[in-house]
Amino acid sequence: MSDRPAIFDSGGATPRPTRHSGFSLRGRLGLALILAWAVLALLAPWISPYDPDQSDLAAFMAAPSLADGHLLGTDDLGRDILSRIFHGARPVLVVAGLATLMSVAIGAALGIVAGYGGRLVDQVIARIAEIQLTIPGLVLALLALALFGSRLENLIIILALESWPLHFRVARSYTLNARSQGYMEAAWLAGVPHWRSVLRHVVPGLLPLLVATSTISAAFIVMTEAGLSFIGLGIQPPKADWGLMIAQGKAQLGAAWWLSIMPALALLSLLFGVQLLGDAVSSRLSSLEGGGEA
Amino acid sequence: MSGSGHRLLSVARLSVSEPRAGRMLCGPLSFGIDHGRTLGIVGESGSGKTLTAMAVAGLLPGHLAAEGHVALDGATLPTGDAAASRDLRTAYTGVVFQNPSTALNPRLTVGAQLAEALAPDVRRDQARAVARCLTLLDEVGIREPERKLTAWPHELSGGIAQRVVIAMALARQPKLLIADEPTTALDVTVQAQILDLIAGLQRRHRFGVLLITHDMGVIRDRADEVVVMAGGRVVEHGGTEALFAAPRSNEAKTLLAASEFVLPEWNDPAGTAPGTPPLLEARGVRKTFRKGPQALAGVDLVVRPGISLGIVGESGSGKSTLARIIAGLERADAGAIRLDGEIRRPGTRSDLVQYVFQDPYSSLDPRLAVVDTVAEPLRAKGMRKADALKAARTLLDEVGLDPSLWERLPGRLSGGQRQRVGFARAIATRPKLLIADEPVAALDSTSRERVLALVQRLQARHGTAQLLISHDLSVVARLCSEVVVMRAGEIVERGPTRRIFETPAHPYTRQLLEAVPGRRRQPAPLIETVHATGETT
Repeated sequence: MSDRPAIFDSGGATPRPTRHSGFSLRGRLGLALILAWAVLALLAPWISPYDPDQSDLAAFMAAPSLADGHLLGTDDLGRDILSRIFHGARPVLVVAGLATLMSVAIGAALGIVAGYGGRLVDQVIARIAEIQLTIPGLVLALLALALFGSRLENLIIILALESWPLHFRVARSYTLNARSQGYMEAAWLAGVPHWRSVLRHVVPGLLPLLVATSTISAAFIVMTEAGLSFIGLGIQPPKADWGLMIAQGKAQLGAAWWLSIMPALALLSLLFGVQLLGDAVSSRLSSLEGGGEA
Repeated sequence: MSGSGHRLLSVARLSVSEPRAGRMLCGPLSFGIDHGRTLGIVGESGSGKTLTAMAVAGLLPGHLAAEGHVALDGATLPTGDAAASRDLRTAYTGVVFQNPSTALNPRLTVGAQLAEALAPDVRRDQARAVARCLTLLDEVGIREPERKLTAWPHELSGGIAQRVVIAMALARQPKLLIADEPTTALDVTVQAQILDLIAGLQRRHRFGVLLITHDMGVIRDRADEVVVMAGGRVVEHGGTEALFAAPRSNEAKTLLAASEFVLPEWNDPAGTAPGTPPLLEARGVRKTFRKGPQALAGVDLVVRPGISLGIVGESGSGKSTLARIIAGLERADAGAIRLDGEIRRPGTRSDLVQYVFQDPYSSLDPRLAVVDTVAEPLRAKGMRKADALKAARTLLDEVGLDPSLWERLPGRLSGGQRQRVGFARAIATRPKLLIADEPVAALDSTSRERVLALVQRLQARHGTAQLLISHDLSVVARLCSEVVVMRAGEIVERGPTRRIFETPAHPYTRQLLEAVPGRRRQPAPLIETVHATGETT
């Protein structure tokens, strides 16, 4: 005879069916969209029908058609839009991926330090995060890119620096909460070093939360990267980039809509994928919190 | 049992099921309450007693369905969730919930919540509403009701908050008061006050009370009739005195045995030659929390090796703070602590002391398997992983945890099982002093019994000195050879357990002893078989 399980049962203890065995449909769809763009970007040199930078003055501003090989048409310099979209996915994904990772790393590290360290450390870091949050992201990016030049690595660093406070807040409040739990105190009493306590008891619980916040960051970063390229501070011509393509096509919007609309659709689908994935991750997390561990 | 024609509440063939899962959770049950009388429903957690009460109150969660006949003062209450049933119930029944801190909305003042509970016509007239609120607060024994109207729930102590909940339940002059474990979350002395309050109001207003509890002591003091539930069914039903005199079902006997406040045959302090140097010596320990009252006002404490010392007192008396300071989890403002003769620097940990936490839920990492949790302190001492896991399994075996649970996550464990894991982790490094902070406060009577038996067994085997904190005198009486009584950050009385319990010197100690449920209507012969029940592992 053993103690009664804490979950309510009267007689037959049928375990609650595990509802959340996988992702919801929208989560899978989102992931598929992101992965599709990643594959296209990776294989761009091999699957692009044309050289993205090769202008063909015989066929400039050709409309999308199946007949002459320019599936999505050509731009005002006669470059194949489909090839440019494939190649243009590369800077978007590289910037979004690296900047998101970097911002999560910065935010999580500072958050754990702030949550676990003393009051003073916490106050200092929290104030810095608040200052960061009060400055409008785009303004800061404009300033920094204008000062340091719009190189790819600058772009990544600036976007990462802009998004870390979100992860910081989540990591900090989770750590603060975990720190006062009995299991952390027990670990301390047992002589477990702080860093190991953090790795064993804080990080595993924090990671899923960070996955959720990173999708929010990623969507913001994709959008901002396109925006910066659009106003000429991001990726520089003649490199293919979606934001840049939209900007270059906007003058011809009346005559040749496909110049801007095609890359815009590509951008939209990627954002859509990220948002779907983010939604799925956070709803899964909240349902886990609600009933999974009771 | 529904004999007399017109009872206040009569329930016939009431059952609760979960239609989606297609299973019956409890019932069918039949019982009744007469005007001005109290029916107690008693059972362990999971016996279906709360479900029954909620079905009567019409407060079942959406995925559950009730069936059967519930009649209040002759009028049938529909068991479905129709609006009509809700109106009838709000007019005739009041509910007092288990935990006052969750029953009150933290973002509304006491007055706003009380007004919300008033009947609509009273509520519309603001002057009348305020007057009624003040009467209600006065009636539940709240001093300065004017000031409490604008107070926020977090400013109230547990006892006052529960009084507010009772006032809300009384707002529409119900005929039936449903009280679901109304005192479980409260201190002993406050418990007695709340139960007295309900009894007094009942005499004045002649409402019936449906009292749900797991505590036979409370039943003995307060109920006229008892329904004993187990596994969703009624196993025994009858008058309180008859049941206490001669319980028929095994469940009733177990519950009775677990609740008896029996002073055990005193195990006179073994191995405490007066000359032995103390293991723990605390002198003049003071602590004041920021923005709080003084938690400890200069406390001296001595624990000799191998002894079991109990600290009793209400919440807020500073007993947990003292224990946490001794463990090093909290820093004292002043005072010295010597462990094994050595001065202890504040806020440092010691291998000599380990701690068992009150809350069995937060004390285990939900993402770490039980065996890994127990192995953690051993690995921290530098033991190799395989050895640590092996030792952890031995420890889990020692605390009597079913081997099928060893590799599980704590989410699958009951409170009692979690507490066993807590003990296994605490004794892993063979401390000389084991501090247990309310180790059974969160457990139901059966698991409580088993955990207490475990504590006794561990002490007998290892001879570890224990510092046991509890607000429950029966726990201390059973496990400790010495007792310290704390109140408002000071020690008011100390001495051998037997002396304290038989001839308490301080008035507060007497008050604590009198507040223990089950002592009031206590008939002379007590069943002396408590010790045999717990030892199943």
